[in-house]
Amino acid sequence: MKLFKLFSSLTIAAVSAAVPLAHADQLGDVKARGALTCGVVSTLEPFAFQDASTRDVVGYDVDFCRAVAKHLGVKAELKVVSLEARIPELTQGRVDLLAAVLGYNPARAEQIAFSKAYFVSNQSIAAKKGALKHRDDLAGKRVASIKGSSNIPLTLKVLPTAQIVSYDDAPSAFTALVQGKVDGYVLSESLMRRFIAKLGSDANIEVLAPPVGRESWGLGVRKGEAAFEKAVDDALDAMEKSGEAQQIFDKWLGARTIYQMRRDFKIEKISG
Amino acid sequence: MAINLNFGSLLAAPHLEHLVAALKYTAALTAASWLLAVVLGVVLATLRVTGSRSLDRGVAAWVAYQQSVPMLAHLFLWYFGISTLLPAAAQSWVNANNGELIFASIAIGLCMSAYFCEDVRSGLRAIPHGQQEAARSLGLSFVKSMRYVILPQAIRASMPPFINHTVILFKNTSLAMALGAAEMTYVVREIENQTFRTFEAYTLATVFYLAVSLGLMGVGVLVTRRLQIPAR
Repeated sequence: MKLFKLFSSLTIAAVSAAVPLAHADQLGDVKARGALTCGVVSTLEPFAFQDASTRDVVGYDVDFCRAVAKHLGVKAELKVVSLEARIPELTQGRVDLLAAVLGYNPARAEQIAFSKAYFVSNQSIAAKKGALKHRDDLAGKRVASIKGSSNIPLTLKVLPTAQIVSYDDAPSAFTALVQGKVDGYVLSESLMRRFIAKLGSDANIEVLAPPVGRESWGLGVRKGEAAFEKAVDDALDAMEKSGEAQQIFDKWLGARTIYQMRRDFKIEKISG
Repeated sequence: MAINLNFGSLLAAPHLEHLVAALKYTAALTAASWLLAVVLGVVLATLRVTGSRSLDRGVAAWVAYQQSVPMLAHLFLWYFGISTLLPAAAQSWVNANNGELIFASIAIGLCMSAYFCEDVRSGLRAIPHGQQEAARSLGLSFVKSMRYVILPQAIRASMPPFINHTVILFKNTSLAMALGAAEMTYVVREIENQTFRTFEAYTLATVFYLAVSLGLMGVGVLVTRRLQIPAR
């Protein structure tokens, strides 16, 4: 009996090890194991960060991972990955799914498949309250950015006459905006709102519409796993329909958080 | 390893235009801060030899402060700190009129004034005290004796460190990039970010700083030679 148990567990181990290599079906594998392993980062509040009291990794990305696992009928396992190594962790099979602040771009899409967009990040310009109404009011004005940032070409595309003033880091550029040394500052909206929240109740900085650029974030899936990819997309669609996706957004980024953001996107296919 | 160099793409539009603007910016920043540093340096050095102990100590404290704090800290203090103490109207005027250039000139100028002050002071110490007494006994006031007798000799004696510090001041203008001042290093780094032509971009910056530094030293040698009194 003992021998039989050992033999069967060895067989299962051998089969489950062989499955990904033998390009069988990852969806079946995840279901057989009863667990979905998600790669998440742990340093980016509110997307994935360590809760100060429980020491657990929580956040927007983590909730999406748990919800997808629930829809697949398995439990979610988290594996913390670094920003630099997140794509290799997926392609080498150490995680099943990446929920790791992963913005879509064509170079990444050559290495991995992206699910439908579960978050759309706006690159927006903030300005002193009341001074300007619209993003395009910054034509010819001084706009701060960070040296080497991809926001510089994005801004110059929509505001060719803006004068870009680049600082060494995000806090310096924000200080320059608060002190009126520049008229605007271009940054991802969620980061910008954290800076604004840090100023406290008398903050006189606001985010101008429309954004200068938008980046769609998808869950990362290994290439060639059509059934698994479809199951993830179906789970996301179901979450959009049931309002669960909206709930997660509101919980981490909505009106009752310091971010005060409105969800201006729906879960849909990322158009490369 | 073969390096594929391409300076052409750096010196074409729109980069060339930015490089020319950077050249002017660096020139303006160097000129403004140098003028402030030299004028203040000479005045401070003169204050040290007036004979007033409190003035002497005050200047010594100023020199110690300026020389002990890194230039970058001076730049941040002026740009992000002291600037906010100005009245609101003055702040918005400065912000609208290239505040980076103004505050960088002040920070670099004040910091380097300490070095120029010490250069001139060492020159002053090379002049025998009897000359001052002789000038005063001829009826010259303190200011006139300094202006016509002592300082011309003192500055002549302090030319070598003076030139040295001029070159250091010029090179230190590159630190103003931290304030978003679009001087040469800032623009070269921007171009490098856009083109990824790292080697060419920094070679260009190296050649620029080397050429101007050597030029300043050359001018310094010429001036020193002109000022020299033929020995008998």
